[in-house]
Amino acid sequence: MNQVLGIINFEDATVDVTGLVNYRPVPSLTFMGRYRLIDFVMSNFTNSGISNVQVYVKNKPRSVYEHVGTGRHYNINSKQGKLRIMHGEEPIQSEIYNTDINAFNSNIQFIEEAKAKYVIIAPSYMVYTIDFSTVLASHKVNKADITIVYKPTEMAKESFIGCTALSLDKEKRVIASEINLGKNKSRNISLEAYVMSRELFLELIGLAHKTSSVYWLKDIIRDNYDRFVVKGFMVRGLVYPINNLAEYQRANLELTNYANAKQLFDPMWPIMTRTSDSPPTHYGENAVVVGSSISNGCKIEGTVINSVIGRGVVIKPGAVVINSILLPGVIVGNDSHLEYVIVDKNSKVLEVKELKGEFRQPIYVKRRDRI
Amino acid sequence: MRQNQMLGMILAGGRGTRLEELTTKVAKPAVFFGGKYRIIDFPLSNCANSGVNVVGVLTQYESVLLNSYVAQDQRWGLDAKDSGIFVLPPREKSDGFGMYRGTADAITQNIDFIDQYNPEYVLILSGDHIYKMDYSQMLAEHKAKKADVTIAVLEVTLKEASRFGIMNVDAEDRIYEFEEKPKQPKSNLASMGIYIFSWKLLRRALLDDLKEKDSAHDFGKNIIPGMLESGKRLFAWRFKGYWKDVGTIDSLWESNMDLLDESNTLDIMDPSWRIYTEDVAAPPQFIQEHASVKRSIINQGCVIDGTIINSVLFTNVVVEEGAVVKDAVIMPNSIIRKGAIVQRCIVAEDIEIRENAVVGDAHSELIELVAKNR
Repeated sequence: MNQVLGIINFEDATVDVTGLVNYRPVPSLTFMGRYRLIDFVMSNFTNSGISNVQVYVKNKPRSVYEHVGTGRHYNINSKQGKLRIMHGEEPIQSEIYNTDINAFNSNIQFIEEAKAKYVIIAPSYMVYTIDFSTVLASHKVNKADITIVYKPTEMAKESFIGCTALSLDKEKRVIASEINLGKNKSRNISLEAYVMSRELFLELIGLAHKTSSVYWLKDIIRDNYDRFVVKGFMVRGLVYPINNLAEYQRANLELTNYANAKQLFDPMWPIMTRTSDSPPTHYGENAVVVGSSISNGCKIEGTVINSVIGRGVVIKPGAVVINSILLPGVIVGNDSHLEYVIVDKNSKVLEVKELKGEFRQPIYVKRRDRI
Repeated sequence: MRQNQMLGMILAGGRGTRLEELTTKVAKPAVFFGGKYRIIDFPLSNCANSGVNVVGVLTQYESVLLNSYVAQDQRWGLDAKDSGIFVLPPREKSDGFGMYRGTADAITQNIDFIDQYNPEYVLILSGDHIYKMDYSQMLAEHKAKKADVTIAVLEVTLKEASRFGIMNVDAEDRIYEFEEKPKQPKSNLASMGIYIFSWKLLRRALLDDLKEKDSAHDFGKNIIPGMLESGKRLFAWRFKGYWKDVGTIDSLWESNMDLLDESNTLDIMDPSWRIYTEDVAAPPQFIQEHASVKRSIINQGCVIDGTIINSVLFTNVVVEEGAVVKDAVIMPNSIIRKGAIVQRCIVAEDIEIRENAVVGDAHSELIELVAKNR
């Protein structure tokens, strides 16, 4: 896999995790209390043996720099491998020009200079595990120009909205695609992970740029299904698209059940992240915790049911947290009752004694807030 | 400012025989503690937090795991340009193979290592103790008193004092006498085995001691008494806080249980003095629908569907539905199957307790170590 350059792409406007993205870009979203979304694609890359990775960041890069660092915690070799964080080098006149193609273009020399024969491009907002070496092998066997990773789903009416749905022929060749607007139940959803030669990738960037200055990579691929051999590669396991707050909530809450979580957290395919050196979690005398995923460094003295509790969260006696997602550093005060709530980092819920959202319509409490 | 004015040297060669099977294949400093840590994480983190950036770790007994563990110095943040953790096991020399014959000899045999850094001071530590200490404060005191040696001491009860090396001091805390395990202790200041020496002086004393044929080459038995005799300035530095030598299964269990007490003075939750350790890629802990967890400490990667009371669970422990874990310490990767009852014991790592097995005795005086599948 040393002939592969891994590219972590950024997402377009169909991905909008309202609230959470006010403070950080999508790759930095906290997930399952201790991860950030980018950990999944980074771990997929390095577990697959890819150690040259470029991370394209759309905006607010600070948290990405801090979290990803040199990539050492993802097993990127500091001499043989390289992790680069890329952002647009030119000022952007309007957000419509903030496309992946324009970002690739402004960093084109680093793609041209890469020695890799292939590129594998994947976004950070799709949570799943995949061995990209098998995708590359299938790409070669199929003599494909482009291979697109996709997931067949029966949940396309409520999930994967705004994602690209592929139409495939019997040979799994992609013949058409459209945006999933939730009309049909069954869809083959593109996970926007692509394998192609670096040469073709450069050609597509040029082509896209010539066609329209607001084109995305997926647009130029869509325009060329008849010109290139574009094949689908199916994934079977769990896939969560984190493209809006409801999906963020669903993914986190479903994964509190270990029967689901163990499909994603395979000891042979570790999801790596930056350590925060938190101590283990302390459960108090009167703690009641069931059906939940708890991170390290917490102090739990109240009740937690079917919830995701981030690192270093404090739950005071009498507090009740149900079907909620508490990001790292949150404090829930005595006798506060939260149901279907997402509380952003380091916020304190002290005075408000009852907050109740719904499944798919959580209440969001902003970062560093005090309520 | 020039770094590395004080070099840390951790004596980590001890076997810890009384820890039974826990130390058959690993040295005592590598024994697990507190749901997440190994004992040596405490002195190493103390060094890192105190600004002692170069640390030599002197290993001898079953050192393969310990050596590879501490060599990953980024775990403690000691991987910067002028920092590092250096593993120093005995080595073959031109005049033969040199086992470490005593605590002082271990340092003597590594004078060349210390000289490379030419430090002003050397901090001698033990890799066997659980405590948090700011060595920079101790060094400040050492300098303020123009001491030749500063020894950290703990106030113990007079009854306990006969188990320790006891420092008898004057009103300025200057040590005038040292007694090893005295029957009738004159003071309650127990040596913690933590010394700051001015390096030039220690270097000379070590070389002199090397020539003594009947010396045990030990700090407590030879070096410290020798320095007292020759009128050097030795001072006691009083430490207040949690300190434990977890030398036995009972004391290891007990100090794990100490953590469950919220007012414990070790306070591993304190963000201002983090204890650093291995970074394992385990998921969060999953507390499932049949679980009940009370007054316990649980680490990442655990999957709990049973009842946990008054216990400490390390990384990746699985407790299945209907199983009960009470007053127990369960080390990494162990599995407690359905309906099993595990109480008042330490379960070693990678152990499987089969369905409905009953392990440990709620009324026993001594704590059982479970080191085989049951």
